Amino acid sequence: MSESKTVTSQNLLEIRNLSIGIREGDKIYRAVDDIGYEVAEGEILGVVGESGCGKTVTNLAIMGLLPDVLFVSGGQILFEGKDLAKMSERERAAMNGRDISMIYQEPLTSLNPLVKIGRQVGEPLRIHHKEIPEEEITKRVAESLREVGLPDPEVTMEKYPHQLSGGQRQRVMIAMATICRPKLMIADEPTTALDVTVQAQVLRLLKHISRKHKMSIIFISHDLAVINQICDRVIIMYAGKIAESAPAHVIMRHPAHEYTKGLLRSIPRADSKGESLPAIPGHVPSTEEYRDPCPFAPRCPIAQDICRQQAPDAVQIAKDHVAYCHFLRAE
Amino acid sequence: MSEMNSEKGEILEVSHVNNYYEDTGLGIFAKRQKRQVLSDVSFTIHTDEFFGLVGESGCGKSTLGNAILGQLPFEGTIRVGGMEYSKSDRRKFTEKVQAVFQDPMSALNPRMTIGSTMREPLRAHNIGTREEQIRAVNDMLEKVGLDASYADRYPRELSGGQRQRVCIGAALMLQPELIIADEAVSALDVSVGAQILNLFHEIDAGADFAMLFISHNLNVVYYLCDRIAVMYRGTIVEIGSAEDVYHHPVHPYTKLLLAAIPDFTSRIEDDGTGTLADIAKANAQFEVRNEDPEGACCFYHRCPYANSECLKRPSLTAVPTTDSEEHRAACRLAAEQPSAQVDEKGSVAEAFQSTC
Repeated sequence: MSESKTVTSQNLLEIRNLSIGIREGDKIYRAVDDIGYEVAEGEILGVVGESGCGKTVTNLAIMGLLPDVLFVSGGQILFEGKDLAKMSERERAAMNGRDISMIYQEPLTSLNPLVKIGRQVGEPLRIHHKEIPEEEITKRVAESLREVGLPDPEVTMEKYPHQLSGGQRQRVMIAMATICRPKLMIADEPTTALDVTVQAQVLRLLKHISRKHKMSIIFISHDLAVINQICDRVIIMYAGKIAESAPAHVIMRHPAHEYTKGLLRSIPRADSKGESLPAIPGHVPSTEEYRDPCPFAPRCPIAQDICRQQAPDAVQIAKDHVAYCHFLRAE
Repeated sequence: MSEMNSEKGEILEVSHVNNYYEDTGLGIFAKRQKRQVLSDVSFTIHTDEFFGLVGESGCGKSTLGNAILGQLPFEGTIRVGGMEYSKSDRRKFTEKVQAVFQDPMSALNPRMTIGSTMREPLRAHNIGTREEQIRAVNDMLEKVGLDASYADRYPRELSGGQRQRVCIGAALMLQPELIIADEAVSALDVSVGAQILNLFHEIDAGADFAMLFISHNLNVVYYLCDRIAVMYRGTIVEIGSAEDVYHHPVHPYTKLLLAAIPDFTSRIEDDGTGTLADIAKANAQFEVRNEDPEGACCFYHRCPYANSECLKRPSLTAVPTTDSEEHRAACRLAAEQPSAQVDEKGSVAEAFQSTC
């Protein structure tokens, strides 16, 4: 395993003290609670967490696609220094697909079943670069399809989504999401619905495209082994907060936060057969449930009174390695 | 759980099962095509055994589960505890086999309390008085790691893991001899999925039942099961003890599946190398050749070892093994590859690549 590149270049995206609220009737709950992180240029950042941890909501906020019941209640989302949270819808629309793009878990629901692949992949160019003539668009679509490894782009362009396999459709999504050469791609569980052999191909492709075009990726997944395959740095989220962040190879081998340790331990591995899995007791709190200042306290094996009274500060364990826990000491 | 199952009886017998569906195609003039979902599937599950069935989406594993439950028409014979669904009293049949599915929320009636959901099987089968039924429900709630206070709650008040515990409890109420668990932990969070896997282990120790555990995740299946069958395009391509199939796979498809599981020891490097990347690269070329010649091996189009012999579909052949369970693979190479030979992931990638 090679050390992942330490990315020294400037930050493309900076999230500062971001909080996102949910309106439910008269009540307001916190889906994301005062989080902050950066994505460097060309970096692949993995975001890991269980359901309701806020990973998807945070990324919808970056895309400006929060549904009506959700709203940014505080903090900044700085993309190249500009605050996305304060932009008008019009300004945001001009960026989506051009500077920031997104791919989802199920490509079939993201593609229009009635429009040919070639037409759909070229759509972002038609919207954001009206000056480009149609022949040029066709040429670039073919190029883009070839880049994502689809054989015979000319044939594929004439097909409809249902005529492709799941893996091919996800490639089409990637071709569409990268055709404007965005600086940032948000990939929300992009391989979860795919079979393992196809997953391997899509992961390899994403890494290749990211390195080739210096495109940053925020890669969301619940699967630490998948994250380990392609990410430079990882953020572990729990119940709307960040628990830990570190380079991928560090977090897999030297996790500091009890939640990260528990997650890694609860994955069945070849040598755990026949033994009881050290599962984390309890369950992930839903948004409406009361949360302790440290939300992991009810499930944490080392929790003390202080965890229920006071939120833990960030502890700098090593360079690039931060965890939020009262019982960790700085480097 | 795993010792000498062969001496025990069999709870499930699946023999020569075929299933087709009619593909109507698009448009009203499209030609109707008969597509085969299950192709000559045969295997048995011993009493008390945990049996894993693995395969990619669309390989027919859930279809097989539904056929066993009597929910689908099929050709061939399926016997649960010696009974055939079509020829037996439905009530007696359901006492023998119960199911747990992927999404516990959609499996539970949102308007019924947990207690009445779990009592339902006893009511339907007229077992015990009301008081006895309630006591049985409370006992079962304890057994699946909840307690009697959950009986009055509704599914929406429970977390995903708790709901799955309820589904497992409900399936166990009639003390079935076979449980079919179809992707029973796939929709759960990682930390909660581990709890449910542990629960299966715990209740297994205290009750007498066999399980058909259907999953796409070979790691999970290996963790939980005594024996494993690997399915590809409706055919069982390899079957044997969990140890043999997981550690000494013989069929090229099983090897590929195992090699493609992301792990923590290697990663995809910047230059596009790494175990998983090599597998991906090697495997990508085969996507194009999607159709097999009529009558060929089901893995012919992707197999690096395929030759003219493979144009004739191989049957499951015994693989030399030291394990007490039979190890069989549907590959012309099965007899030549003793399962004692361990294949490293790297060599799988090499094999797939050398043919490109």
